[in-house]
Amino acid sequence: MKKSSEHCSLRRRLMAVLAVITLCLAGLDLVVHHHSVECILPDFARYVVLSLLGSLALIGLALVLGAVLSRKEDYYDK
Amino acid sequence: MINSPALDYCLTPGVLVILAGCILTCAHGWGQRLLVLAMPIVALLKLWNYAADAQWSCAAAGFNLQLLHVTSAGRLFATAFIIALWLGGMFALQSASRAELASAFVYAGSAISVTLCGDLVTLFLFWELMALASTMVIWSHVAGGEATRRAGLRYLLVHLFGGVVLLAGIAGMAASGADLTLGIIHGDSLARWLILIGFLVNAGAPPLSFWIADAYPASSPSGMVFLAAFTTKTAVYVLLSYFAGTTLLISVGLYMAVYGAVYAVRETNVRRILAYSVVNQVGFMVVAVGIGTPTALNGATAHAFAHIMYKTVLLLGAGSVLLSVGKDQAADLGNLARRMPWTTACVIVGALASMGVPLTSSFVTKSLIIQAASEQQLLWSWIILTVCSAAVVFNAGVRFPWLTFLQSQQSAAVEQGRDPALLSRVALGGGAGVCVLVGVFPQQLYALLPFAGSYHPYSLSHVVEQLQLLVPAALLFFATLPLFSVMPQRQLDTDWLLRKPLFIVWQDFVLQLFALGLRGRSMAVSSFIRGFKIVFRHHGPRGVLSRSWPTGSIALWVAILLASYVVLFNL
Repeated sequence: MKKSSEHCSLRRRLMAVLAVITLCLAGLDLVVHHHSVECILPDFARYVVLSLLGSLALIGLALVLGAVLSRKEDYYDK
Repeated sequence: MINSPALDYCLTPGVLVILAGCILTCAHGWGQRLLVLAMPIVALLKLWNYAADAQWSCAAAGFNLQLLHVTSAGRLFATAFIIALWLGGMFALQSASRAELASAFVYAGSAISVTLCGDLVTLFLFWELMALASTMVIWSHVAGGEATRRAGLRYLLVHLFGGVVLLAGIAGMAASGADLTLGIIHGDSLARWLILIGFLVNAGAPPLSFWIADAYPASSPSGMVFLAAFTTKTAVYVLLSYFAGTTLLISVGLYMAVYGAVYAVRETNVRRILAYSVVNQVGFMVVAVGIGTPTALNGATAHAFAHIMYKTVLLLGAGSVLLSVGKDQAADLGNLARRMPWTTACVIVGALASMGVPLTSSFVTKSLIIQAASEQQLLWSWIILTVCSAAVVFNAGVRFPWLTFLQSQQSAAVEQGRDPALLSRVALGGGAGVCVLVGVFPQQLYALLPFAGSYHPYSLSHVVEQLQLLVPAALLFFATLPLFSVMPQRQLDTDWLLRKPLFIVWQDFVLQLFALGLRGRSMAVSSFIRGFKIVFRHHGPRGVLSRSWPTGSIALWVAILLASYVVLFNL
């Protein structure tokens, strides 16, 4: 139980660090110019937005499909 | 008579490895170790001793079989296969059976031969040998029991289906008098499409992507290392050699990239997570083949090399865990980092390489593919590949090491965890070292690619872009972690059709028909025997009609017959 709560706090700390790094990386776009495909996505923090939106879409898709496609591990053994 | 240079060319690196596999069926002890450790080195030296355009062919059954046709791409693929065989073999010495080692060498030798042969007929021969040997690798995991046997059978069925389709395509091309030698197949003939389908089956393309996640985790801890390295990558090589620029492959590859990413997110078996990750990354390579520009084809070749290396490290890590802990479900693992520090460190290097973190291999290879999509202004391909690049965090990148080594301890079995033996640690370290070397010295890899090009991956913008992709994805991974249970579960795939409705049809209809046929046959046979007995009883040597009758009886019967005749005549 203690170890589990330790890991929860580790996860929270990791998230905080990653959030700060994400903001810093987004801020770097003020000075770094990227060459990529012309599209409706903003030039500023384009890759951060792509990563966040894409990952959210992926998680959403996995959750929706999971509800439909997940079965017990021994499903095929019955 | 074969002269010396002919023998030199005839014994290609692939054939040498296959011969080593044959010897391994009866080798043991030091002989076995020597073969496993030395033969890949001999094969590698032989491969790089060939001239850049070396060719050798022989006539057989009316075909001109090109057993050797060295190309830049083929040589790089073969090099990756040999390194993977060497590392996998080193690891397998610890635990694999003699049958598995022998099968793995024959399998690897066939894969190497596919990348070094110069025509479709030779390719088909090694292609099928590869299918049979890889099935033996799966089946040699005796501890897997009935589940492994069935998974191996499904794997064999899929690959035999692919082989039949491929053979039909090759036969069609041969019948139409088309050129069967190495090169892009043009036109829109049925034979061309059949060959493409045959190749795509081995690549794990839809709708048969399931076989990778079905069969690979059913193999032994070392068996999966071999399986993940060869089959799908030989498919990428042949697609690159015969179908570069076929735009349909872009859609197929994008589907594979998304499929692998989505399925891996919910997967709880750590080896199956890596299997889905294989589909995901092969999708990148298939897209690149579909784009077909020099940058894209260079990207496919380079990324195949990088992928074989980092996936070998990750699977060696997963294999080490399975060997020491005996579990591969996330619900039974966790907190192994302290007990298996060497394995954890190497796996983390492999995981960083899989995500494409700067200074690792994937950073300098995957970017070529995404750059090719960008150069061709393929907006949706670029977006999907970029997102899938970030999504590696959710499979091999962060999820696999987190669930295996870093999450809180999930079961008491973890207490048994310890780093593997010295040779296995060397294999892990060697693989991780290659991942870093490729990332640090990318120009050395670029110089070996099929097309000349000037690539500079270490620009400030590229480094920032890659980190901007990976860090937010990692943030989301940790934020959404509680949404996903680690309890074992099975995800339905297209194999459901094979394993449920078709199985029921097979059991309740086809087998019943067979049983009915058998019953009908036995009834016909028993009726025939009964009829024969009746005929025998009356007409046999002791039958009524062949008995000796007394003269008086015969005279009586004759009188009756004559009287009957007289009566009938006068009526």
